Amino acid sequence: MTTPAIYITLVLMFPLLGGVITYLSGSKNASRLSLMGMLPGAVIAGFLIYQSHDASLVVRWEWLPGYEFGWCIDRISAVLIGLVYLVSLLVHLFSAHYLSHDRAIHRYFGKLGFFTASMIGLLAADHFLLVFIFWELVGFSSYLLIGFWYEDVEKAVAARKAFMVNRVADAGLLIGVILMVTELNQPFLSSLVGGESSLLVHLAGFGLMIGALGKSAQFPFSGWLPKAMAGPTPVSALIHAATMVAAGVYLLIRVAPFLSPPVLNTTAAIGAVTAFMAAVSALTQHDIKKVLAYSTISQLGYMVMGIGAGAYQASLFHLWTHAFFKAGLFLAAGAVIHYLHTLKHTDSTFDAQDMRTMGGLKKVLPFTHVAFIICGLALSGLPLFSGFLSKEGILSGVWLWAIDHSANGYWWAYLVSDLAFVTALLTPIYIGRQILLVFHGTPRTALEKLPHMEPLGLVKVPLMVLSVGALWLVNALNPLDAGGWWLSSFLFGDSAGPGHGSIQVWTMMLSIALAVGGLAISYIFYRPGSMRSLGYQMAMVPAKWYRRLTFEGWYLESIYDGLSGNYIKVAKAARIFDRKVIDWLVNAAGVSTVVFSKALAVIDREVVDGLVNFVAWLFRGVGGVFTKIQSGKVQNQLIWMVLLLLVLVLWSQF
Amino acid sequence: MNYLLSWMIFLPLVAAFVVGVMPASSRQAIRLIALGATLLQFVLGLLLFFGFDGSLQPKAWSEAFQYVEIAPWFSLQLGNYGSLQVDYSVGVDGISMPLIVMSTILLVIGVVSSWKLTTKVKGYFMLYLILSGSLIGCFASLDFFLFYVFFEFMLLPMFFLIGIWGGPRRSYASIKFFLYTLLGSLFILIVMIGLYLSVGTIDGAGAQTNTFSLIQMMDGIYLSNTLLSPESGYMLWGMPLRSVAFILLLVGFMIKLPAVPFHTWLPDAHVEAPTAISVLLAGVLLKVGGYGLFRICYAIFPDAAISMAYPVAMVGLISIIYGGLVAMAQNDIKKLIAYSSVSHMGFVLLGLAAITSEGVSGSLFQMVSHGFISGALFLIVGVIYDRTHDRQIENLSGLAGKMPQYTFFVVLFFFASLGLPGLSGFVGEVLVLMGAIGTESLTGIFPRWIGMVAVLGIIISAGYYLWTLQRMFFGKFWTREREWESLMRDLTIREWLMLAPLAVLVVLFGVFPSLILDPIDNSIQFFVARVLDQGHYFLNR
Amino acid sequence: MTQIPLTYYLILSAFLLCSGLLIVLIKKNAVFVLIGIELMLNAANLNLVAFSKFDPELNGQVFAIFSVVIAAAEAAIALAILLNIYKTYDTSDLDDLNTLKH
Repeated sequence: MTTPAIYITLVLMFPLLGGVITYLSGSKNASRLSLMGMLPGAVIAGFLIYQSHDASLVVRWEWLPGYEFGWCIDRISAVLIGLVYLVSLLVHLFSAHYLSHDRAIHRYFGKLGFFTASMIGLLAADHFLLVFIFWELVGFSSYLLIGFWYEDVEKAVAARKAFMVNRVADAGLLIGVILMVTELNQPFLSSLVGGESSLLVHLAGFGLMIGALGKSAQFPFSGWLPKAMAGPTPVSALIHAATMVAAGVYLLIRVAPFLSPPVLNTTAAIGAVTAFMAAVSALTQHDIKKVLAYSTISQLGYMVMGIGAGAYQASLFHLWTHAFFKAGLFLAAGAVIHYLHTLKHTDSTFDAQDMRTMGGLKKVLPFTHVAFIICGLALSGLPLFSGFLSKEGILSGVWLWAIDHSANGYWWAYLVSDLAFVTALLTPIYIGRQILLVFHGTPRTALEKLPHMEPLGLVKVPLMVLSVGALWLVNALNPLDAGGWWLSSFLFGDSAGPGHGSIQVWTMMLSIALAVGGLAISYIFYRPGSMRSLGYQMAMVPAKWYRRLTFEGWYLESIYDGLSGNYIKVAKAARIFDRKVIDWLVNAAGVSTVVFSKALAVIDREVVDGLVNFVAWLFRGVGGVFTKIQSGKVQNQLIWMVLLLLVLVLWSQF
Repeated sequence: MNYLLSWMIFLPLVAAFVVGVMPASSRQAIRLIALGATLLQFVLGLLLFFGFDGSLQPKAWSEAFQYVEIAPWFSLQLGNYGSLQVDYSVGVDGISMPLIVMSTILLVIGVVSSWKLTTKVKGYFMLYLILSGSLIGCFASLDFFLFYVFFEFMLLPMFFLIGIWGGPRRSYASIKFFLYTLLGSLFILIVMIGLYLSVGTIDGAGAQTNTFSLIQMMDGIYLSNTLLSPESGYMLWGMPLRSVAFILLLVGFMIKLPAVPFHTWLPDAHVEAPTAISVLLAGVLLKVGGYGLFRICYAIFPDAAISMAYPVAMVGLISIIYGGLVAMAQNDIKKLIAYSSVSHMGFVLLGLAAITSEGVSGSLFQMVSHGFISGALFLIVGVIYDRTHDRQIENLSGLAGKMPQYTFFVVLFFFASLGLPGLSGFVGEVLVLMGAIGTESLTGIFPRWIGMVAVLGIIISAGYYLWTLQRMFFGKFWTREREWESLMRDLTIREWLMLAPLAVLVVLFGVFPSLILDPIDNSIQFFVARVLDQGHYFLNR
Repeated sequence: MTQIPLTYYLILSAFLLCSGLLIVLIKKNAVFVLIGIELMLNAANLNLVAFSKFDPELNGQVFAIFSVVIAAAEAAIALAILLNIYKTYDTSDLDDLNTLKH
């Protein structure tokens, strides 16, 4: 084995082995054992980043006869692997607290280790088939983790639906992958060549795009991510916010040099539409995790849009910052849920995720409150926070792209950038609403019943690390320079991508105004003591159609259900067809053979056999006559003799 | 010369004879003999696997086989018609070797799975051993006559095994199975006679010897101007006679495979057969159909294989989609798995139709991996059926909490079957799809949209497996009959012994597919090159 | 002396033969049948003798004597058989002696 191969094996196997050992050793020491796999892996991941500075780690081997497979860890992969390790490590810590009372905690850590390994495999894979393999494996581990509490039917159903939606998109990806490998002969991510324009290139590009849209929960596949919130909250933080859902974005960044203009334009449009739709849906949710889920979809929409617009450097930056602040938001939400969950012991109908039961939590959870606000402000894109920097890059990139494209006759290009800015306004509104409704105002539950339980160190450390990661300083020196990401030159060399020049000043002004304005709007509506805040406990599922539309997430789930219902109808029809037509034909062939042979039997008995019997009957009759002669009586025979003699004599006479 | 294959074929037959002379009351001894014979067969299979020389690069079919044994079986002088020559000739190449090894593994597991059988043990194991001998014989035959004998010989034990030890509708199922496959055999018989009349040698004195040698048929050494020789150009119903023969063979083997619309015997036979027989039926018997397509249909009629690629691929595609759809709507889990077999065998057909090295090796890999996976799936159903004597999906739910080990295997094999990467099902499917999509630019025999539509198969299979998982294994623990609750114990050691080896194999071949594909690669390359070259050569005559 | 014409002999002989035949065919008792046979033989003898009257070489008479001797022998054997049949089957009724039929 070469040295790179050893590194890659180690970085892959540590989380996996940690997970397997944890699973096998039972629930007692699960949390400690799982870290034993993660920590050395994280060290190696750090080392990989250092290694990749000089040259990419490339490993090639023959997996199938005639197909050379390969890993390639370049700087981007190395950094993202480091990110995955970091978030995963923090989530491991947090889960140790969050699930400490669960009997199946060892199973949980087993699955988590499996997920981490698959995710790293996805980032390290170079060959398209290998990408697809790990792509499916992360989907599978996501399925297992969403359905972790499988005894709850709703959660099991959610897991299935999430996997199915992904699977549909994966079919597209598989077509893209196969076309890349067999037809276009570009099997390696690290050496893609673009610029060609043929039907096959478009097809492959659309296939890859559909796969990425599915995993990153973009329209029309976006319905699965809110469903996926059925999993434990740390899982949502790791898989459904920071890492796995970003895999689609990662893939798009990788294949961006190959994608043809129609594919890129579609990508940009879908990203913008998704960002807007999801942000609108986040406005009216009552479930604390669903707000964050829609927000994730919306932010992923930004990244996808950025890639479509050619600002993939900014998209990668946003992926990076989003991983921190969104994981922070989810973990903080997890802390809230875990805190309120104890109420469920006294009241089984209590929903610990419903924001209508929250409010005023800053008094009991001050640390969580601060972390949530920092991450929330980063999400809303306020200067001095990481989200501003990266979102800024995307917005200016999209605007530049829109100017460029509308000049080339794509009249709708401005719509894309307009949607991006509208979303930039909506984002602070929904996150401000959430902060105000959860942490401020008067408590809507009897909090005094609960013990004063500020989160333990296990919870504080991850929240602290992630919130610090959401500040500008750890990302770039200049809080206003979107191109100033200190990893930028490491990752992309000198090409920092679009987003520079005079246009940037305007977009910056605009987005600061939108962020502040959005926060202001949310404060006006939901400030403590306002009508909405006071009446929120009684808030129902909205009745007006447009509110209802956002609450139901544009009815995407109903559409899926309708489709799958129709699909089952088709399947049932196929079954009936199989029984009533095909099998009927087989049986009919069998039965008609029997009938035919029965008829033949009749003919055989009556005609063919009848003829034989007739002959026999004839001979028997004739024979019967002659047997009468042969009575055995001598005298009779003599009479015959005499008669015959007489006849002979008479005959000789005449 | 080495008699490995003959040992593998006749060892179980001898064991069957030994079982036959034993008193019916000594059940344990009979079981042990059956187990011993199949284990020995398995060891021989391992010898075959490791002794197989994958570096052989044949130029003609006559060089392609290893472990060859040829002995004259019988010959007849037919006066003006020359003489008839039937050989006992066996041998393996990279196409039959993995199937033989896979069969020996499943045969051992089948014995373990029928360990608890108590009715008519002697007869059961006798038939079982006869079946196992003829299965290997079928895969190893290099003489059409011998192949046909073994092919038919399998039907008989199968008929009785389903018809005597089966479920409530066993007589209907076994008769349907028997008659349907017999019908297929008739088509094959017709072509066999046609080929016999066309293939042979003429010695210096002008005396003609006709033969059933598959090698000669595959190498295309025909007597001039005979019925099926490529240059004679006989037509029947406006089609070349060779194409008609190809279609007859295709239908014959597609019944066995089975492909839509010839599949309806399969669900009935599976549902009524005892667990071990379902395992063999799905795991090995269906592969005989696939093997026949490789060895006889495609290798002997390459010209027709090329000109008929489009319809064959369409049948494959329809089987994939249609089998999956019908599986989705089943309530009986055994039927569901039976229909999923139809769907997965569609991949075999599609991959073979592509005649590219990806497609063909994927098709073969799919057969091997489906052997393990579907065998395991039927064992899984057997676990439930042993406990409740019921197979309805909606009669149980929430088993995961009560039977975690069992659920582990169920999830593993369900996902293996729906093509999760890292498990063997994925490799076969993805190779087939690569072949089917890539064939348009490589051979141009059918367009790539067929392969692209076949990708839908991976969505459909995910649909029914996940739905079943959710309905039977997730949610609150519940059983339709109260007395079942106490019966729902986790796996026994015997059940572990059956499922664990298969699980190991499925993971092993999923992660390291080259374990199978490397040794057989040269054979596959030769097969593909030969079919294409000879096919085009014949077509241009 | 006027000669009795041959016709008379023949008529008598025919009468005897017919009587014998009738007895043979009709009578149930085997003894009567034997008597009938004797009658028919004698009718034949009568014929022979009658014809020899018109034959100078007397061959007919010789043959008749020969025939009488054979008839005697035959009668003796027949009676012996009859006796045995009677002993075995306890009957001399011909209708009961139908084993030939089977």
